[in-house]
Amino acid sequence: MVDITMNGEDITVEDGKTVLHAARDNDIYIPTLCNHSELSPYGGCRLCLVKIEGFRNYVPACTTPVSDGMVISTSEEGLNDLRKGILELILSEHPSSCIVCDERDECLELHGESTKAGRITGCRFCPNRRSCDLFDVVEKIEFNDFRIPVEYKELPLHRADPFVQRDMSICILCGRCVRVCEEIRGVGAIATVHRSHDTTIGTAFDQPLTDSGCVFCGACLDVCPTGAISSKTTRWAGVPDETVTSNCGMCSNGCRAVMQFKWGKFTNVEPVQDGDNWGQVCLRGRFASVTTVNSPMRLEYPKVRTGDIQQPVNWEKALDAVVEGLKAYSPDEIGVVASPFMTSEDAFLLQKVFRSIGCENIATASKMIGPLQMAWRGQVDRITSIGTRDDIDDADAILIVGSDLSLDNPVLQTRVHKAAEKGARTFIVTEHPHNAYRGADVLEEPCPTGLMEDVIAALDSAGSCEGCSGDGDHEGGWAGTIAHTLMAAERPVIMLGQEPFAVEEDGVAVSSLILKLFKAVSGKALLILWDGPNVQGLMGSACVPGIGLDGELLKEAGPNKPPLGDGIKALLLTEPVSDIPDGVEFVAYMGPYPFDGIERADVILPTCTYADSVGTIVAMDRLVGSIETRARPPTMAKRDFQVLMDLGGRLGAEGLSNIEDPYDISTSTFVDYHIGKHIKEMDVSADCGPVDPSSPVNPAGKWISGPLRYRGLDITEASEDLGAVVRKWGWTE
Amino acid sequence: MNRIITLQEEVPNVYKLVVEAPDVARRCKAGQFAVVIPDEKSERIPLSISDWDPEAGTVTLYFLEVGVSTMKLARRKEGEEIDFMGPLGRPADIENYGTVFIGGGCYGVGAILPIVKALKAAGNRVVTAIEGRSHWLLYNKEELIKHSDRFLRATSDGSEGTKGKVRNVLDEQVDLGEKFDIAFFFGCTFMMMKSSKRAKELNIPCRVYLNPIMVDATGMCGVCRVNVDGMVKFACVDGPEFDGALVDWPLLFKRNRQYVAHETLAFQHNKCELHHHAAGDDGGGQCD
Repeated sequence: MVDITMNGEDITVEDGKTVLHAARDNDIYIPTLCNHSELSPYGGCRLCLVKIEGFRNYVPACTTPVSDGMVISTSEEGLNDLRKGILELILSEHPSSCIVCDERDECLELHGESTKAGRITGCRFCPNRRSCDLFDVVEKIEFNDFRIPVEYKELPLHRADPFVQRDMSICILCGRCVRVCEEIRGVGAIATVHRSHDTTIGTAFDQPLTDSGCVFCGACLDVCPTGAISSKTTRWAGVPDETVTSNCGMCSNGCRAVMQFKWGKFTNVEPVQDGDNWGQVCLRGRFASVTTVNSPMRLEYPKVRTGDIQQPVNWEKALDAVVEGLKAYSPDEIGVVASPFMTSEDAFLLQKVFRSIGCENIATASKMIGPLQMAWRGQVDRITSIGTRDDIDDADAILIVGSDLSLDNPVLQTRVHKAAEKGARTFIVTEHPHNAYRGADVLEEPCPTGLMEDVIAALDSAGSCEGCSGDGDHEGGWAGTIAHTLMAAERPVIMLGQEPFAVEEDGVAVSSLILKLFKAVSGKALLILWDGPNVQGLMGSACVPGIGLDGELLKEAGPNKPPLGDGIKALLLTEPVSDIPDGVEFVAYMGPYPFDGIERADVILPTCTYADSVGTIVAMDRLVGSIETRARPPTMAKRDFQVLMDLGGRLGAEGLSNIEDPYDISTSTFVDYHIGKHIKEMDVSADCGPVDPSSPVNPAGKWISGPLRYRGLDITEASEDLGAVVRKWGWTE
Repeated sequence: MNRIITLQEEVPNVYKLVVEAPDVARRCKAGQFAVVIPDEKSERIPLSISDWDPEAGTVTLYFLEVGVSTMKLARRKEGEEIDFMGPLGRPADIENYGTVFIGGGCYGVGAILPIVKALKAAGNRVVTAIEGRSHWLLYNKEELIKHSDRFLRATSDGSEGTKGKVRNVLDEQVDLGEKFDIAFFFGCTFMMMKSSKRAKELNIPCRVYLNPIMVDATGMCGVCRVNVDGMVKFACVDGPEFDGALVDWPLLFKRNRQYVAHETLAFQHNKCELHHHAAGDDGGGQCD
């Protein structure tokens, strides 16, 4: 701790803090535009100049560390004029006529929303109009008139990139975007380009963002103090009517994010600054999500088939048609598919309704569960990740198999990048390698089984390699190097992605090898990057054959059967499946989007997405999160919860009378679920006893899943920009 | 379909559009407008006619990019064809008033030209004033100077001419002893409202050219209804010129915001330009 004097007051400050930190901690305002809490000090804008006794010149508060006995003045006479002068220079090349306009307040009141123009030529035309850091500084230091000529830079407007529009004519060159891209995301897609007066922020050789290595996380637009970088799709929504902190439901990462709602619609997503996702969101969660949720493809009306036509009807008729349709079959002939995009409560209710009529054929639409069950039964008590995402931060070696994270769990890239930067040797074995990693060894492997077998074979010699630190290359090529690195590491983290599960046999083989490897190297964490946001939750909701309500693997042959086998004549789908067997006579579909094969549906029940639902989901590292909303479901669509309650009532399901909202289910059923906490992890040394080979597993192979799917919908159809990005990345499903 | 002869960004966000439309060019009168449809999936956009050449068969318009449809229009290319119909609306009341003040802002800087020309031709002494937020947003100056007796400018930041708006110019001129028999204002709703109020305070009759949301532009749908002197009028067939002192401005503001949610959400699904990642320039390409 050091003692300093600031504006005449004696204060004690933690050693190593800057003058700016010290001022902020003591509620003393120092203007700044280039400083950002998540980024290293930069000293670019010079607005934070302060006077320190004994220093010859004014010094920037953001880059000056405090030292004992320092006497600082932040508001000395003349200092504000100096800041005004600096700000005037900044504003003279920023379209700031609205800032000095006499009618600014009245204009703001009457023009509730910004004018949705192409170029930003003033505050009224700026998407950042109501949340502008630059204007905050203008107000705080009371700038109100120009003494020098103002100019407009008239730089090319970058509006052809996916998701992001760049209007560098209003950029003030604070460098926050460049630093967040480099320091936090480790991408370095943008930099300051050109020199002197021509300096601007851009990509190398002015390439489009798709060629620059950009991962479209949108971190740059979060930190931009002006509206120079903004989201093309959501930039004009302005101040939301309501915001709520909720889980993103696009992937298994379970990021908490600030969801914004306006006019009853989902309008924008912003990251939570101090959360498990490090103030980051990703291209799916931020950009594609809003477009997907508000997609014109959403199902809006319940429909019942009459002949060849699916006729819009009211809810009563549609639900009656489901009951009528199912009545014709015995419970054994009915199959139910639970969607891993549903909340745990909705999934629990789904199986409860159908179990109460005697139907036990319930399965979850995840390609990963079945192969993992087959590979790990008898060795583990339940199937979950081991450890948490925090283990990545202090890992000394990382192996990611079957994903490069750029589409599956993009926010994890931030942590992997930081760990790699700290020295963790990182191997990424993937079918779809992109350029998003520096400092990682990326191995393109369509099927990692062979490589994993070689790694395991090399473990013995790696284990006996004396004094091995794992650095450098080793005998046996990549397999040998990976084996040596993992054996030498004290805190290795292994991640299993969804790529190998495209083929059931590969999924089983890789799962088996991964568990073997994890045990052999005494791994710190084993993270399963599930192919749906709530796969883990559904395994604890009795929606997976062979897994009990508490998530434990059942040892004996249970009553569960996969729902698409012989003898199934009626289906209730909450997630589309491919190739509905010819023997199925009645299909009821409950979901927010149409799918290839929806013409087979006899009844269509339009339901909701994560942005218009409520409930609990469990992320890939067992972290329990909640989904909250302030959006109205489109037209006649209802939440899954409501539809299942109504359907359950009609089917005569018992035990629904004491359920009023989804949280009644979680409090009574998921007693171990606490939002923000982790559920129990699997035990790899449990004495699990022998396994009945005939006990059922969740079927694999029929499910439509993948990082580009949301509840069966190909999200590149809803978000053309995402389509442009994945095509550029050479990604095909 | 009508061919685009010229389409260029005159000043940031304001585009000059010259369309080949001989039938329209032969019939135009000052104060009228045309409807443009950028492509088959776009809205119908009413745009004030700024100039016409019956011999060359062309019509000139200025428009501001303010949403998805005008964005699409701005992305069209010279030589391509668009749907174009006009002239629509009642022509302006042109007579010899004496000394007239004509104020234009935004797209109105382009749109006042025919009124300036017609009033001048009718024998008036024409004082023209244009406004912009800064000097780099003022355009069409040479044309306006040519047809005005006096030409004045105002900018919000004071970078050119008077600091303020055209109504501040009006004040200045009145203070200098200038007597105006009538004033005409052409620009955004905010500008026309504020200018009309000022003119009323100065006891100068005024005309404004309203720009409500419009669909068919021929008096059928009634979307462009405005309240003038307590009566419902359709801007497309009863206007667009009205007495600025009698317009119910708050209602007009409300009605213009009626579809703001749809207009904003439309950006989420607009597929314009996504397949054209031209390096460094401002894109281009077809909309679908």
